[in-house]
Amino acid sequence: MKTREQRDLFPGALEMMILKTLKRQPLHGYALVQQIKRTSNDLLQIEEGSLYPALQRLLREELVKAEWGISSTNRRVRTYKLTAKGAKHLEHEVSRFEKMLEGITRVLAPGEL
Amino acid sequence: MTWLKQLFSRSRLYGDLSEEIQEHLEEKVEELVAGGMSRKEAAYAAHREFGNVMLTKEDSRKVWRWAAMEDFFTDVRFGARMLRKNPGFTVIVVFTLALGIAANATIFSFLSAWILKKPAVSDPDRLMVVYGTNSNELREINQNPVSAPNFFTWEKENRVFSQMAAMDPYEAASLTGQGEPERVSAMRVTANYFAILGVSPALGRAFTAGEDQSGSDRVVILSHKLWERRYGSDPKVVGATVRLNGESHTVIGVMPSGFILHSFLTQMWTPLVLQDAQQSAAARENRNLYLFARLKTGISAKQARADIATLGRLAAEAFPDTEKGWGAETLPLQDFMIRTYPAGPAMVIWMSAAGFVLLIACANIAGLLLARAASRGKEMAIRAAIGASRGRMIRQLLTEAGLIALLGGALGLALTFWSARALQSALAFDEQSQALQPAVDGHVLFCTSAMSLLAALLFGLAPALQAGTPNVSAILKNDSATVSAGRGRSRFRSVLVAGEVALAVFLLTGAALFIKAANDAIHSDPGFDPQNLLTARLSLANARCGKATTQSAFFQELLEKLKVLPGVESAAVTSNLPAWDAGDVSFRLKGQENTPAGARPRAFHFVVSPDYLGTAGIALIAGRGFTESDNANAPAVTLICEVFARRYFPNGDAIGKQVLIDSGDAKSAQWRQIVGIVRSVKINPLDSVTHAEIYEPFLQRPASSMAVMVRAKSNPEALAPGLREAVWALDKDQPITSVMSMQDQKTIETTGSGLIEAIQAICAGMALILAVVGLYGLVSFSVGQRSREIGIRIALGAERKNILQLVLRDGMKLALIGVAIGLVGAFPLSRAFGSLFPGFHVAGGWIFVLVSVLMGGVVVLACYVPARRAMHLDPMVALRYE
Repeated sequence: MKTREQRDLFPGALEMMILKTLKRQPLHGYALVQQIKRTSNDLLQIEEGSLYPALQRLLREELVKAEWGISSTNRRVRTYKLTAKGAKHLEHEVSRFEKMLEGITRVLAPGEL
Repeated sequence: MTWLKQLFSRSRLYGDLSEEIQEHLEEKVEELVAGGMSRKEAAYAAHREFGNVMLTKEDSRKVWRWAAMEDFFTDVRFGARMLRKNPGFTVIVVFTLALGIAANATIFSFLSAWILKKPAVSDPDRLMVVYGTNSNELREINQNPVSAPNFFTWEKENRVFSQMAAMDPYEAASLTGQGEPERVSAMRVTANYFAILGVSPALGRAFTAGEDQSGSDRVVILSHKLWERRYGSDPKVVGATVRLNGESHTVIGVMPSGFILHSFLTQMWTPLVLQDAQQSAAARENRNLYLFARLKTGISAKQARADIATLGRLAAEAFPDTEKGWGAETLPLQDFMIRTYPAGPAMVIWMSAAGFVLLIACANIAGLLLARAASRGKEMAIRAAIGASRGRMIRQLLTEAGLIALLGGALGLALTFWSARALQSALAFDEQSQALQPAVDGHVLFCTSAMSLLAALLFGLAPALQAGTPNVSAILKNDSATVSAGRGRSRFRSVLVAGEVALAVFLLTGAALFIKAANDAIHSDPGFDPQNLLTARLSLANARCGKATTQSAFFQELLEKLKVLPGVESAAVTSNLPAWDAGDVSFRLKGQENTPAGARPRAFHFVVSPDYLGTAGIALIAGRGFTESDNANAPAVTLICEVFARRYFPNGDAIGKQVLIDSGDAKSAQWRQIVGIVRSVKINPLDSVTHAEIYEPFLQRPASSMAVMVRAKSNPEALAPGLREAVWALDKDQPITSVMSMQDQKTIETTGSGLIEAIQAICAGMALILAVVGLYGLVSFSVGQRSREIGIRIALGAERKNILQLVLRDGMKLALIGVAIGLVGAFPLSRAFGSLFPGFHVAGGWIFVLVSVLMGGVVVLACYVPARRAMHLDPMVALRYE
């Protein structure tokens, strides 16, 4: 069955963005998705719900860890934090992505070929 | 061990997730409200942005799960809940299936014991039995024993066997001393027999080389059963002396209890002494040995067959006088026994009857499941609407079907344990059947599981496929455009109804025809009068009564004593009782003296005392019966039966003609004049066909083993003590066996067929009940589905009478189609039964009519009742319904 993020992004993209965002600072789910949307200037159409299965996958792989706490708006929230393993994974994924992007860009570049 | 941790922390995980998503949505709403939106709008927007909450949760959870497995458990849990919620439905469906499965498994347990169980010998597949075939065989089973000369020749000349043993299965012995004198079956075997079979005694030893030589053959090995029964399982009996036919023998061993070859049952084994030198025609005619042989390494059963067939042909060419028409064959022991055990046709019929019951059960369950699936259309539509995929829904329905199959199979198996035991005790009517011992073994377990699985697929697939493609919006909108069921669905239902009618007609007709034919055969005129007859069997011990004159003197004296007993009308002796599978002989008519032995006609053979015809109640048709003056000094005479007369003297001039009855003993083979024609008697109670029979006077051919027959004025059992006393007054060591009335005798013999009848009746009864209930349920449900349509028609002004006609017409159409198909299938059954059971005269056109009318009636009733109910509904209620 197709899941939502796969329909809009390539597999693993959402996870990568989550890890990157969490690298800057630990966040809870809602804040995380708002942050991603904001950073991408709303260019990426992300269904908010699709965040959660991705977070579960990251939790399972122990790339992030989660903790219940109270937010600044006095709300009970579950804050996600990057682990050391997650940081390493992010680095690896980003470099892979950049290589892929470079390839795609070259192919798509006007004039050449 | 993270997965293990996950397994246990999962409910917390899921709780966290739900809470988190809830918080997410609330936070969003609050933010939107803060931005100036109404709370309602905000909630809507939040959900829209978030997407499908349920699916998100599901996807998130899936991350943690072993998805396929857990979906399966969810389905099982859900299915179990559905079954619990409809206990009535569940009970009916599970019981229906259990009955179907139990019927099959029970029959199969018999089949398994009969065919699949390997004989209790070592490496059974390489143990061959060599036997003779006769091109003129009267019986269906053409597996005859062979003569000693052939045994010696083949043992020397074959190139396929490492070793050969011979067995004479026909001996019986009087066992005396220590307890009542008793007649026991005693198989004679060559000394290497047990070694070739690869079976060792449980106690003592087997025969050793040389013990099958004259002079050192006074040893005996007991069967486990005899050892238990007569000697109380006393191990000291090994080494003890017993008297067999008046001569002392040493018990050297006891075979293990598991050593039972159901075609070769015996109570003891003694050495078989054969004289190598005997090559006379008489020795060749004396066919009384089955040969057992081990295949040489590297030789296949097929090669052995070819080699033995060649040896058989060589014998026929070398000795045309005695061997013409005879051939030799060999089969592995198991195959040989399967063929000798005459249960094949019964098996085929039982298995197919039980199979049909299961099919009907499956059709019923499919019908019920379909009916339920239709009423669950809304549930399915909702599931589809909230994101359940088609595959997932089919899987769920199949899981439900599987659950039913599992329950049905388990209950069926439990029933089988019970019914297999019941069958086993019902089989106690003769030794051979008793030795079969049907039980729930691995084969039966496998068969039951396979049947359950197959059944689940059969009845689960139809509703699953139907439910697989719900028209979500139409069902949910409950659109009045779908007044009646869609075309596809109603056609499907029609096929189901017609198919079930056809199946029911076919099976019920078959069962009824068979039972009737079997009954007719059993109750047809036996040709004699079995009322008020007491019978017993006497075998005079060879040592004491070996001479012909003493034998006839003994029986004559006995008959004199019996005739004067109070309550006795007459008494006679005969070599075979009527309706008791008699021996057969070959014979020649005057003018056909030179017919080679194998090509001669055969007839069933009775040697009788003068009063036999009157005592048995066999009518004399022409000529005269035997008298006291037809003795050894008078001209040789014979009686024939009417079938014999018609077949061999079509011109009606039988009396006065000469017949020569072949015999191993050349002296008594002489031309006999036919002096009378008598009515034919049934040889086998299951046969309605009568065979050729020929009679010889006892005084001209005395024998040591005879059946005594006493006609009583009334109550034959009361004469039993007098009979015993009369025998023991002549010889106190004389064993008497099978003292019983002819009725009992007949009952014993027909119990086998009675059992066939009973099983047929049970299958047919089950089929009838299942067919009627299932058909009624299915038809009434499908008519009930039309309530809404009927309501509309009435609202539009249709007359109730017309509607009833409409519904009944539709029902009748399906019923007629079903009956027609069923009859077309059932029509060849008469002939099929007729050819399976040559004695059967399958008739009864009324059965076809009766079954058709019955099934048609059920359909009409099943249409009428719900249609009437629908008609009397207020149309508004019918329309509002749903």
